[in-house]
Amino acid sequence: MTPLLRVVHFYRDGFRSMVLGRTLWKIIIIKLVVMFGVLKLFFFPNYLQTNFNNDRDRADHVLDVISRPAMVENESLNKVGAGVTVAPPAFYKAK
Amino acid sequence: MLEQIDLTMVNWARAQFALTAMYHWIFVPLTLGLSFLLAFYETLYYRTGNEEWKRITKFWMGLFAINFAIGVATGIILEFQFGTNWSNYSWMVGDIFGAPLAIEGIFAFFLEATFFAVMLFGWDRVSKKFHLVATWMVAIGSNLSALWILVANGWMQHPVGMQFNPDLARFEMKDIGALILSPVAVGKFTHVTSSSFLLASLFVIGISSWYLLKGRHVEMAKKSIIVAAVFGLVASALVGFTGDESAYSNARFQPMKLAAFEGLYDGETSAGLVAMGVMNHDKQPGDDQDAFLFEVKVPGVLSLLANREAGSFVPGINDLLYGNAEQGVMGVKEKMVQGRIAVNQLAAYKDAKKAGDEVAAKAALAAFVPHQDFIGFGYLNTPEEAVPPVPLVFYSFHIMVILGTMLPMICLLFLFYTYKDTIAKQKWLLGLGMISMFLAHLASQAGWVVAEVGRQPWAIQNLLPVSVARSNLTTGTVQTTFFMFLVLFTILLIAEVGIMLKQINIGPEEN
Repeated sequence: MTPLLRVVHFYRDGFRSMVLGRTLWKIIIIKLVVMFGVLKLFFFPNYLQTNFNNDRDRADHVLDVISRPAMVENESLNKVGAGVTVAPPAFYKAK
Repeated sequence: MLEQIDLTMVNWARAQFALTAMYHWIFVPLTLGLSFLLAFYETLYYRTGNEEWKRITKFWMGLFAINFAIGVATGIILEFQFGTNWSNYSWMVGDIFGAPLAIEGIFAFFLEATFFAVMLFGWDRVSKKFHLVATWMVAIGSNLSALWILVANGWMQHPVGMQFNPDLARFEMKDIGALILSPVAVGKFTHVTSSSFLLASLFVIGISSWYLLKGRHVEMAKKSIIVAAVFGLVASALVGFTGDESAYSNARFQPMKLAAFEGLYDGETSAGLVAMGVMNHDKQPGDDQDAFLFEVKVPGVLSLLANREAGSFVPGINDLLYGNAEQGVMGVKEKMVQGRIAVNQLAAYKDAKKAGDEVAAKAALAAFVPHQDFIGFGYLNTPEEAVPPVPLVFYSFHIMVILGTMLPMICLLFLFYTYKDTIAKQKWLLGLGMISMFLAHLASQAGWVVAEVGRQPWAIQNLLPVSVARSNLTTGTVQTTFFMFLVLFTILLIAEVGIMLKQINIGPEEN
């Protein structure tokens, strides 16, 4: 018997001789089908992969989100950094 | 635009992640610890040739397999959630997490496909020595597999070895050594694995206690208890040592978390450690109310734990929020100013790049860099947002510490009475042993609550709050999947407990 065949038989006989293991394998298979066949497919799309066509667009989207500071009641705090050599971001202009 | 986003979505996404992680964590510590106990039992069989040790190994291996089968792949759901609910975060850390998670995946695959199969199927088919090696490899491999996940988690708590790329909005890895050897990552790995060893020891003690109470498989139960109690005691010493290191790391890198889990609002010199207490839930940062309705404090110990010096100053929540110039503590208020400069300069850099103005882009980047370590504070609306839910963190920490002190004593009592060969008569202790299985899980889960709730609002410490890390999804979408998971996890948990109880009831003969 070739080494490869011995390995195949090792796994085959192992699975065949399982008692409790059969129930466990059923649980594992059902779980994986539910996870990948239902949850991942229908409920967990990758947000950036789905909504943007390429990595440049994805990076631009994230950059857009992280370059918006929170707006607070303290006006002087909102203007921090806006008075330097570069123009304030579009977010401030909109306000 | 930020105002238009429904901010409650982030809390549902957090709840969903917490639910999944806590469910996943029911299985993981048992896998980590029980794998080593299997290796110990089998080593005893290999060295003595006593068939009883083989019978013991095979019995616990059956329960290990059930736990593994129900728990396997539950962690993958966390990765689904990264892509769906936490897409901004996911994008930003892709380069950092790619390597550790890929290594983890390769480890897990080879481990499960080879050594795990040999361990389960290989009895009487491979040599005794090779089987023993396979069992040890499963133990070592499982724990190394956990290393990479914990390295990734450690980076989120203390981001090192990286550089922010403003063109791609990504953190890029510069030094994988710094990532792996970060004191937070090392502390997390050692604390998590040692506490998992203790948990698994108490699992074995608990089930063995049930057999002793029923008068079944008495010899197997006693032998199992001896090894588990010794392992549990050694693990407990490591838990204490690594827990102390974690507190020291928190003091240096996450002082707000330390202040929260001690309920310390006003910083103190020679700060005392609260041994137990009841918090005043009306207490808010900056007010004059007492933080506790009742407390028992051990003087000087918190300073000693935090700074290795009993007379040192430990900043409280108010110091960290509003600053304490006398003690050289920079407040969140000041950090928000720094953070806003960073965010605004990043925006300016982005606009200049888009307009093709390289001079302006270069100037904006130069202005951004000195403030970039505070960027996360630029997304906060108020300084108080930087405070985690104090009572939850405080109680979780104290539950963990109290149980962490009590559980080793249970191991010690089991070892003592088993050595005296009177363990079967100690009904009270056997009952306590059974309860301790659940207490160990409670302590373990509480530890993660301290680690993860205690670092709120940060997805990445000081750099990215959860409100910015999330995807722009509706609350309803996340709510739907939250309840789907709740149902799925409940069914799986019932299945596990049912199969486990059935197998325990059958016992080793029919295994």
